[in-house]
Amino acid sequence: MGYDIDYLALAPEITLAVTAMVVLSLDLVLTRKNKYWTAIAAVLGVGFAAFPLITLAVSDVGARSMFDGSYVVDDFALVLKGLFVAAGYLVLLMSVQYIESDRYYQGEYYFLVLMSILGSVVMASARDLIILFIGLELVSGPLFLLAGWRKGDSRSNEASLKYFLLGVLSAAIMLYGMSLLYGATGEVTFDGIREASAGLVGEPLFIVAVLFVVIGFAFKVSAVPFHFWAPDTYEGAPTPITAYLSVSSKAAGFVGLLIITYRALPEASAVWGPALWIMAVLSMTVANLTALRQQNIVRLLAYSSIAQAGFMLVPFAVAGVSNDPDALEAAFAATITYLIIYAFMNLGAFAVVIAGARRTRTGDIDGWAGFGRYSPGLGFLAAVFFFSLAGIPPLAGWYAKFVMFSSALGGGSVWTGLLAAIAAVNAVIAFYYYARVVKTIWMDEAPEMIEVDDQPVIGSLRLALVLSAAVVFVAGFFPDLINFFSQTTKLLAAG
Amino acid sequence: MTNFLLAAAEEEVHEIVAGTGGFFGEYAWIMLVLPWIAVLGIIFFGKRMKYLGAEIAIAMLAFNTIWSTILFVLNITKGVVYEGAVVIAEIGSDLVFELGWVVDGLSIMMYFVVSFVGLVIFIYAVGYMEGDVRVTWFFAAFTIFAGSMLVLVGAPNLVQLIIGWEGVGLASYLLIGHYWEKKENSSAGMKAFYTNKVADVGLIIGAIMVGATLGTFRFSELSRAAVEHADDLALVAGMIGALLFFGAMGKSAQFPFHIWLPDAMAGPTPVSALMHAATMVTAGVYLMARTFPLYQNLAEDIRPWMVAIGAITLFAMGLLALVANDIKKVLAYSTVSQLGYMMTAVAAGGYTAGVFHLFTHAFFKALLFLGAGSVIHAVHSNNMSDMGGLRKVMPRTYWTFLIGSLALAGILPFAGFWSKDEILVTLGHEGYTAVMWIAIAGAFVTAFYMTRAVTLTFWGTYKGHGHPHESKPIMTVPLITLAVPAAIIGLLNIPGVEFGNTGNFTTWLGMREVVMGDHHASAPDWGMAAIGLGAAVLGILAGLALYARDRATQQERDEFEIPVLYPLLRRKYYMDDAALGLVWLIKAPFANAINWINDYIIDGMVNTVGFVTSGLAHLVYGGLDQRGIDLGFNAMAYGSGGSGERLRRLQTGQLQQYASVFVGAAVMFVIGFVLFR
Repeated sequence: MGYDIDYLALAPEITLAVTAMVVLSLDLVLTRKNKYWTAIAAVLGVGFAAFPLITLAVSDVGARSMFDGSYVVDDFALVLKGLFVAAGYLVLLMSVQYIESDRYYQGEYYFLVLMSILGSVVMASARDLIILFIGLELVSGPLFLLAGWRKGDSRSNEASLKYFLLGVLSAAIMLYGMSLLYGATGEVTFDGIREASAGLVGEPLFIVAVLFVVIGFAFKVSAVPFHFWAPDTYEGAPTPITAYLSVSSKAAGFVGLLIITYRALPEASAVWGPALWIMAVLSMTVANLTALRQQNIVRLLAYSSIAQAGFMLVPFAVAGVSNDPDALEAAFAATITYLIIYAFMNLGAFAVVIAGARRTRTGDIDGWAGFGRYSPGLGFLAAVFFFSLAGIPPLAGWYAKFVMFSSALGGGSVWTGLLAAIAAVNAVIAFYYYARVVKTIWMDEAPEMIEVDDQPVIGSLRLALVLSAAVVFVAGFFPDLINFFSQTTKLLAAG
Repeated sequence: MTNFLLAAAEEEVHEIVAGTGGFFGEYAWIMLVLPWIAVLGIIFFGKRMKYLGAEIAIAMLAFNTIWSTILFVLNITKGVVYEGAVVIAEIGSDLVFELGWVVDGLSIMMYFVVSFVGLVIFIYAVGYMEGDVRVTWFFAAFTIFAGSMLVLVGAPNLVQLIIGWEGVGLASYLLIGHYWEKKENSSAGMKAFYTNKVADVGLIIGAIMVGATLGTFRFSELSRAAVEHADDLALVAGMIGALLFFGAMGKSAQFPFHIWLPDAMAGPTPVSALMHAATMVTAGVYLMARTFPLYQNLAEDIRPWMVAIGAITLFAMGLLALVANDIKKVLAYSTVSQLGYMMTAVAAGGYTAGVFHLFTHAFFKALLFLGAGSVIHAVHSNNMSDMGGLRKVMPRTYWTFLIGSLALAGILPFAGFWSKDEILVTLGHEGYTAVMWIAIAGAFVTAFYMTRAVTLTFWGTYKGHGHPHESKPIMTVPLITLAVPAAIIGLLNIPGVEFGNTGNFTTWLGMREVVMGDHHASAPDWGMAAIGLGAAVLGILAGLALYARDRATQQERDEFEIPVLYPLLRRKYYMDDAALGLVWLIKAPFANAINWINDYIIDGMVNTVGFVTSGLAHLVYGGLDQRGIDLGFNAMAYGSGGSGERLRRLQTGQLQQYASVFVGAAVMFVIGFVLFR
């Protein structure tokens, strides 16, 4: 009780905020030639933020609750903060060369990315509507700007504007839903909402409130039919930002969805369960079928990430339809597991695209023909990440698909069985377009005029590639490592 | 020696005595793993090798052929039943996901067919693909094709079967679209892929239901439960049976899923040969044979329907072969028709009859396709109207093709006669008299179209360009190699004739952990044999009468068309049109709805803007202003585009539309959930 601030619990957030300020100040004093120090400061700062997370994880104190239970640092929050920090770290590593070669606004770039990471870290601890919304907007706000970072490119401007306008629309819908939720229950904290919502399930107003909040997050995770912004924005934004959008921003959306559905509105599962069932089916099917026809590799990854979001929604639908508490916990853990594995393999795929595009000089998949021959190392990593996304053992992706399927099969109703079947068919379709990229890279003849090895991959990008590849391999062979993290988060679902 | 239970054969229960196959059974997984090592070898080292990687694939298949031959002999002499599995992971609380291998009469037969026929086709392909684009890639995909089929037939459970099943689908998609520079080829690949995907939904749901009901995906457990009339299984057996059959219909191209197979001819001929003989299309029949006890014991209600679908397929698709001009299409429709025979037989309760026909068909259909490939290679055309008179210049191809045709037509003593006769006997015995007569009529049609194919291709005078000559030995030796089994392999299963104390093909195929007995006669039914043979001979005579007159009338005979039937057959019974129509029927309401919204709401706004602009122009210029009107007209022209165009433009890049879809979808969700709460 009370407003005592636990500074250790807030240390990761404080570290990130201080780093952001340091980066901004450095940007003011550094000469143009020395701007790269902002990158170093940002990378180091995010690295430092990991230390308090570790000390918090090993400390004996259980959940640290602040502000009347509105801000809680528990195992769930720690695992997801860890994920956000790690993903942010990788994105920063991927950005260095990309932003430096564009030669402008380096300091602001890193400042904005750091603020967005801070927002996602806040979200993981949010236990009431207001903090959740502030966190979410802190994630999105910088991204509106970052999506338009390549100012000379009209597609980048278009990306930014589309993302901004549709983002505002979704925020409005979500905020409307939240205010209705508050109106219906009289509570803003999730625990309060859960207790107050027991008798409200049939109320139309309550249903509207739940749906609007869920739809707001559906936009964030780019679930069909709220996905239209994603392909255009992903294609136009700078590639590291696309990677960030498709991983961290999406993960932030899922964290919001997880807390809202399992923690605040378990009583309303009859509403969000079927709604997310529909979105899962649509996301998987529509995105996979569209991805089959894509010619641009970033657009392909955009549709792939929509489809992957569909797979991640599967356990939600299972939890919504099933009444078995075990199935509920399994579904919760399944989403977390999928999210963690997806983050690393998708970041890896984008890192390969960033590194490779400097050599192929094109985003067209056909332009990557024979890439594996003149750049075998990156070609191999491309195969690793794309096959992992397809879910081929022993790469980590198989375990993600596996927990998703076993949660669906454990649901024990016709609807979850049907969902599993649809997911299975989609997994097969997805395999075809992932395999097509690998096939182009390894099987097709390289065009004549490629100059071999004129663009070395710089150290930071190398590090990002190696780290994500290491996670994909290790998690594939020892899935229990990932399982350990997702199992500890189950407590949140149990309430 | 281990004893395995063989449950109820007809009415009595008896036990079979079988070994494990010793080393060769317990390590049979090597046959399933080896192709994948070969694929990696081809990808990494193929380009640097003399035959661009083909030698790796051939060595692998040669090894598998030897291994499966040893198993075949062991099965004949001692009987082999062995099942091994490795647990990969646990699904939920009671299900496990295992990979493994089954070695029993059925799978040994399939290992042998896939390896041996595959080996011959691969050797032939070295000659056929010489100088082609992407040879290494071709052999890599070809090896995936054969390897996936081995994984499929070796599967002890439904999950592994689905993995192999999808692998076969992937490889076929890649291989059918091998010449992807031509758009129609890659669309043929897509058609095969999509048709199969629709059917796969049935298989996958069926497999999930098996897992949910029995707590296992194993075929042996499924068979055991079926034999023991397990209550929980009995409740849903009909549904599971129908779903699995639905999946099998797709892969085995049963009516109305047959539409993908003739288009699949777009791939290189060796691909067609492998696809039609040993791999892919036999997978559906194999699944039915593998789960035979389920249909025989519990899912009896749906068997008449399955027989009906098989009967439609065998007769209607055979007729289509009569009108095709492309020699590969003739053979393709013939395959669909023969698959109809197999499916009918298995569905009617003839486990041995159906699988035996699969076995003999693999040899002579591979032979026919390779022969057709040899001819195509020589004349550079698929059309029989560009052939003729090749008997003299291509003697080896001619004689082997003739043997294949006689085997397919069902002429004594070639392989097809025995297996087709067994199917007819089974149908008669099981009481499907009408279907039996359809099958006899189908035998007439089969002989008819094969006579037509042989006559138009090899007899008469040459009508194409250039000077065709016999193919190289690397292509003709495989033909001769396949001609031998096509001629004599039917002798393995003459009713009543046993090979010492080891029985015959029926006995060897019955070596399974659990199998429901089917009817097999103890002596040949000479009456039925005479009727079947008579139908085939009549078909040949009819074909000769119509297509093999003297040279003077050649033109006439080439263009001869049977009245009434031809228009119908030319349009393939309007099946492709119907499929298109069906898609249109499903799509049209959505398209119309979207079009309506588009025309009346979005365009309404656009038009309004247009007209307002136009009106403003009037005011500003005080007269008729071209620009204002133009804007209005442009807006209207925009509004009257076709619906297809609108659907394609779902991802238009137009922000207003995205936002309206966004809000529209949100509103629909709300209305839906509030109404149906």
